[in-house]
Amino acid sequence: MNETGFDFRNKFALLDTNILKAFLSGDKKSARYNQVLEFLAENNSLMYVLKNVTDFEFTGYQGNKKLFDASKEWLESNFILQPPLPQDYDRAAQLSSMYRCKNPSISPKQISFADCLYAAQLLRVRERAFIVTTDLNDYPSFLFDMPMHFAIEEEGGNTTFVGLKTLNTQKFKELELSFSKSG
Amino acid sequence: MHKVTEKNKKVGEGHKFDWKKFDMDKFFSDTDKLARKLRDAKSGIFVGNERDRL
Repeated sequence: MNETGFDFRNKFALLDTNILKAFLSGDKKSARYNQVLEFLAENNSLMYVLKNVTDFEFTGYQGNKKLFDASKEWLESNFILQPPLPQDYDRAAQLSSMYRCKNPSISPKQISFADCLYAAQLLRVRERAFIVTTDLNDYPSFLFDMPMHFAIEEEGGNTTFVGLKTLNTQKFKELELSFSKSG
Repeated sequence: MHKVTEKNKKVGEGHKFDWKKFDMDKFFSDTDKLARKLRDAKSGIFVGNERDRL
């Protein structure tokens, strides 16, 4: 348990594309992320990635067929690939508008289509899922909680933070209410 | 190494990720191999802000 009361055991762990990139980035070995994976293993987290988004943001970003194939193989060998459901796309568009309504000055980067799709996915399965991300600001605190985080020390002295974010139902209700009264 | 099968591809009630079949050491080894390939090929994936490019 943690201060938000979220029980991580046996929950779905949705891996954001940025954590996949983090595994592969830098000069240091990917094993520096073992504390994250060990936490997920200890809690029997049902790890998966969002297909289509990952296909585009990760595999589709490779510059030649060899890398494309190698990336695809790595993904398919290690992770469950879950396509979004049709209703997730509608919800993602609505969430994007709700974010903008809540904070008109929010950066367009912070409300990317992919991030809203992840949020929509989490909204649908919020009691049973959390997202693993290195871009903490992509999941704003007016909708998400962060019951757990890890600090990963990089070789060059930088620190990467990995957050485990959960969608807060009460915050969503408040966001939905203010959105319904807007305009 | 954990292998995704037809049976466990479905996420939802039928979703299964079996940590007993997940070899963490092999995962890191495979990951580092791919990371080397990406770095050797100077894959743009780690350069700059990826989202700006999308």
